[in-house]
Amino acid sequence: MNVFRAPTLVMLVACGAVCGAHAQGFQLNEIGSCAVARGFAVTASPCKDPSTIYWNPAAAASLEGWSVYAGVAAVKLGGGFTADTSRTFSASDAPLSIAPHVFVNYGSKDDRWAAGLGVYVPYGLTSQWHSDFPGRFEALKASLSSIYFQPNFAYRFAPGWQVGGGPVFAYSHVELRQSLDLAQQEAVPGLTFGQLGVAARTEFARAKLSGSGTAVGFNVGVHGTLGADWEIGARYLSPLSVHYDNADATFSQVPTNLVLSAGNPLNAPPGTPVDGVLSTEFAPGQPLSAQKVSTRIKHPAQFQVGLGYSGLVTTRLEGDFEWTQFSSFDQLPIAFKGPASSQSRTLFENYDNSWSIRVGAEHAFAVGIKGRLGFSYVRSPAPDETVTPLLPDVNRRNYMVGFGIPLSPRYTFDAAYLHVDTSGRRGRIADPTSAGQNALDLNSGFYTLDANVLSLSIRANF
Amino acid sequence: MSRERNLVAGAVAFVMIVAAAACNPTKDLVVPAPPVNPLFASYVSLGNSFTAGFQSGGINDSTQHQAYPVLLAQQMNTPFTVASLLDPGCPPPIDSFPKGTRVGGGTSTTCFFRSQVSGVAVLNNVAVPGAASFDPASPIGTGGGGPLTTFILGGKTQVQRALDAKPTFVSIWIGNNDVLPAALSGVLDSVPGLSPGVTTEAAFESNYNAMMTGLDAGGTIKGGILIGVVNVANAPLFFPAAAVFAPGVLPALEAAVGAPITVDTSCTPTTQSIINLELLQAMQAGAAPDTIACHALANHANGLGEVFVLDATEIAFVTQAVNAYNAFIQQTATTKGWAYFDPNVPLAQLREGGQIPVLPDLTQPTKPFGDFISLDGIHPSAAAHVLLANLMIQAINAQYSTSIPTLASP
Repeated sequence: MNVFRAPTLVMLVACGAVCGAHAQGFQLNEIGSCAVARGFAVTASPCKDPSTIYWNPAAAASLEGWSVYAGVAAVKLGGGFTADTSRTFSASDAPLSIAPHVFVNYGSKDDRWAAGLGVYVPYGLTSQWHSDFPGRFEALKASLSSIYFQPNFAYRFAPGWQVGGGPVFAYSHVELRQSLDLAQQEAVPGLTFGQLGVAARTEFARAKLSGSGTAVGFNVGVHGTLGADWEIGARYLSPLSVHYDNADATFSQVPTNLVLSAGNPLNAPPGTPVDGVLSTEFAPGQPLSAQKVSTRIKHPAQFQVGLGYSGLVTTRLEGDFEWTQFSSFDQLPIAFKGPASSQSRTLFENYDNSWSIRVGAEHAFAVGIKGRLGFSYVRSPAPDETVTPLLPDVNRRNYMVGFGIPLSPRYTFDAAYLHVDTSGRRGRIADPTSAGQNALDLNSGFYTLDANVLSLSIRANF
Repeated sequence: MSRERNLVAGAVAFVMIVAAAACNPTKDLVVPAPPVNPLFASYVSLGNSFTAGFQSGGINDSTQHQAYPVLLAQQMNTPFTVASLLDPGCPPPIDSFPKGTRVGGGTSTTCFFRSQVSGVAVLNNVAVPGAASFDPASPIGTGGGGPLTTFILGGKTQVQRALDAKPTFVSIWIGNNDVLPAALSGVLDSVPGLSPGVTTEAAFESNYNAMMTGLDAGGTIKGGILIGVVNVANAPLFFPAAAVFAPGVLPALEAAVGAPITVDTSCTPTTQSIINLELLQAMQAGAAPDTIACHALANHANGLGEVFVLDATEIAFVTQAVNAYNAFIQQTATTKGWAYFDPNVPLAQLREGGQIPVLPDLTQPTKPFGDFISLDGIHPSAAAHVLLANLMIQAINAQYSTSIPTLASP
């Protein structure tokens, strides 16, 4: 008997891929407390710390001497899913995530050039649900940790104008845990257990995919002044194609306690436990045995441009526009290297490009204390039919507030609080069962999503 | 500086205004219209072929959706799912009585599966054709059942599958198969290969109690309706043996069989015996001699007068068993404060009114048993399901002071 059906593993890998590619969804940009507090609007009028290696590599040239900027962001996701019919609310179970960042920069005394290194985590969140969540067959847990290493060089090529950039070396780890639905598995070729009467969302196994990959890209920027009061800047982060070549797919059986009756199509004796029939599928060499799988995920390009105003005595203002090319996330090649190798395939996605508008302000108070305020609006790339437990992506409103306090002539402490607010969005908890189903057919409830981020950083100048 | 303070204040105000625009997180829920009463928030039906939607010797998606529980749920305005079976069915219903042909050209052993999209998580109609009182709560594989048990319940019992739906209201119509197969065979004792026998009253009560206890364990049920067992001796598939002496009846039977029929001397114009029309099919197939006997013959030759025949004593036995079942079911309903419905009352009225003919018109291809009985002579037709649903609605409304609207008569 063959109870394995290809989409099981395909969906497993695909879900991991989608998670990884949900950069806008998970992209809280918690890289540097100053930038967070200013609404991520720091491309034109950058924070005076080395985190600009990420935000605008060109502006690093304006930092004199050695400077170090290090810190962490603690991210807590909230929200859940409310089903249409039962109105039952399933809360998210995402744990607290910690995303560190470290930047080092050396700038020439004449502000002509600078060299540095940035290590940061632009993707570092986890979506996780309780074990009884009805959408666990889409995702029980999806986590992504991508660390970027970016050497940087910036150069002032004209008075007030700099360019900069450097390669980005990415190391990414992805993990997905997912329940498997017996109703979707084939009992005999061409006949699913669902067609034998097994209820949809009957959990018979849990799958775990864990893998790592690397990629190389680049991050470049340009920064300049327009007269005495205006600054302009732009950055471009290239797409990164991360290869997860040896991901591990493992499966564990979950008892269903189902029993076959007389006259069943499997021709098993009446009273035969279904779990016994299924157990053979987990044996070495069988479809649900541990195996390798590989895929490639293209992280979309990002472009951000901003305009800053410093004509006020003690206040700086900036507005930015950011664009992410999610439409490039179009294909997912899935290659199995085990018993399911014949099921290798390419999946097609349908994300839209996304954009965000970012505004921020920084006000200098007495004795060097700075207060910061920011807001950004993020347009989700996920189409209406792709709002799932992996990430119920939704348009976001980010509210930021923060401050910077000089601890000594050499050290400064920055703190920021970010609240991600959404209006929620209708979504689904199950895969489409046939082609052509639209959001109206698929979506069966309402997702809420929010997040709170506390970012703390220390800046040191030498 | 005041200019800057105004700017900062303006920014704060902007943020607060946008924050205030955050909306009610559940305003976009697509919530079904509420049921006519919260009692019916989740309705589940248990039972056998009557409840599952078996008609004319078969069942498919069409007949399933004509069944009374679907109609009840529709009138209750509560979501209701059935285990939709692919057309033509499992087996396909008979579409022409004299020929015995079935929908889609299938046979009595044809069985299609569940539709691909019918793998629902919650099943509201968990009734399975062929189920007797033993089956709803007994482990799968220990009772009766065939492919439909698997296709409908998917490896669980009726009680287990019912509780998956967290029912607030249930209807239960079980017990017909504790007596029907034996009655149809004409042999009321258990004879392997011939008759399962009639379930004893004690066994029936034990089975029924086990089912009720299992349902109670779910802790969600707030009400229900229990439906009595049909006195199968009144099933239209049986015709009175005395009718063979009426003008034109015997020739009609002979025409149906395609051969002369001998009427044994055990039959008289005053005999109380009833004969299962399946005897004619057996004659046609050569599985029974072309003789009608009205009582078991002394030597039990060929089962004459015994198989497919119920004499007055046997009819009384069947009736007594059904009455005992129904007394217990009604008592259970009373104890629980649930509604009770006796289907024998409207069945008798239909017979008395001639809407269910005493003797079927064997030449009628689509309605030999009238408008209310399907082509198998046992199961209710679509029109009968409407009638049953309306009568049950009246019983439920009377018991719970609810206002479920009745259906328009067909």
